Amino acid sequence: MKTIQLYDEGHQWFAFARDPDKPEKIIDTNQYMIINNDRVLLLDPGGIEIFAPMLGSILHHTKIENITDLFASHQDPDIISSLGLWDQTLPKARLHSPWLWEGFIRHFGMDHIDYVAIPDEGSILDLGGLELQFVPAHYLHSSGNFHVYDAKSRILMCGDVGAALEPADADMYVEDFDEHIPKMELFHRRWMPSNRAKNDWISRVRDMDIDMLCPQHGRIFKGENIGKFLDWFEQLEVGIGVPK
Amino acid sequence: MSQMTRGQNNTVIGVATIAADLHKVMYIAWSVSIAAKNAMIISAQAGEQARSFQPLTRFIDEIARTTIKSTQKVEQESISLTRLSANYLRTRDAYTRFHQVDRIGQQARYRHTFEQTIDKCLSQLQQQATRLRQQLLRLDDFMQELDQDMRAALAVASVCRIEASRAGEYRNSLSVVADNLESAAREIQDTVKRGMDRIHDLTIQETEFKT
Repeated sequence: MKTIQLYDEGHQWFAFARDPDKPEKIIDTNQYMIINNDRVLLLDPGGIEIFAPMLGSILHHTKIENITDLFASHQDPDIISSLGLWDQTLPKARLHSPWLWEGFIRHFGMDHIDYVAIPDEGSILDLGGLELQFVPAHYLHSSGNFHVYDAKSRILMCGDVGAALEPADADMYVEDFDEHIPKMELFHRRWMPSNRAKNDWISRVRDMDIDMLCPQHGRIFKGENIGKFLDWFEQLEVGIGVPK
Repeated sequence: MSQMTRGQNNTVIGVATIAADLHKVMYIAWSVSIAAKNAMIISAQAGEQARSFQPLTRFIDEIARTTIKSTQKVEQESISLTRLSANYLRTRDAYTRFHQVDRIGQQARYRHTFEQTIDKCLSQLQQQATRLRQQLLRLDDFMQELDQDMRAALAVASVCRIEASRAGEYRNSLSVVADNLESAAREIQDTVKRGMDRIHDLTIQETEFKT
């Protein structure tokens, strides 16, 4: 699995992705990690099939006991089906996730980890002095859904928003936005159910100071590609699963 | 799926199948109890002609009640074992994946901080394997008790047939009771035997697992 350091100024952000050994039929995913001294947060830590390469990579950067917090943006298996294994691995940790999905996520196995239910309006996590915002992103695509914003690094981890379906050896960053559009279009049209929710999210995110937009599938947006993505997403008609 | 995982899956399926089979046995035992009550009525009507049959009907009813109780006990044990097998399967899977972590993270700076997790998992796996083996043996004991009960039921059925033959005009009705008891006992015995064979296979598989 590839490890990419996204940020390193006091605290660190890492992305883990592009596992060459992942089973062919499971969707490729990006996992993220924030390290702030002896406090570590894993963001959308991934499915059961990539637990081993994920933890094998993490151990290069931090001790097991420092992983104090997990975040699951929503309930999908590619995000959190590894929970049962994390539950047996982490001596003392909390899972931050939408209140809506607690009863469902617990089906993945949760005897030791504490569930911290995020209310619909969002909340703040203090990760050893680093403030992280859980930003509401409901219906994008899941009906209970959050993104994570770090104002210090100006990184927004945006879950399925910005996702692209690409080969497992794709680059980590968007270079040519126009070339990237076809890889995103069907995903956003079909998976995102609500134009209203989409536009609400866009208007809030436009007011945020963002250097990196980090989705759970596909590539990371930097610089002018962030604005391009928001413009593109705003004009896109979503929710095509039901005919008009 | 690896052979070992396939074997573990068979434990879950095998024990769940025993539980399902025994649930059917309970219905058979209930029907014997009903037949016994019918026989009580018939033999009461027959009066003197079926005098020696009457105590047998109470005996048949008692056998049915004991069988129901024993079957419920075995069924509960099987359900508990199914749960234990599923947990064992899960722990086994976790242990395999933890070893993958250890292999992939061989050069990792903080690999040593993961050792405790692997050790804890192994200990849990060993405890679960021991409990699984012990519970399989206990289930086997319960099944053997049930088998013994059915041998007694077959013996009673033979006696019923003899007494029925002496019941004059009520001979046919009471013979049917004997036939039903024998047929039910044999069906239950077959189910129990299948269950015991299945336990025997599972027990062998469990001893092949190395932890």
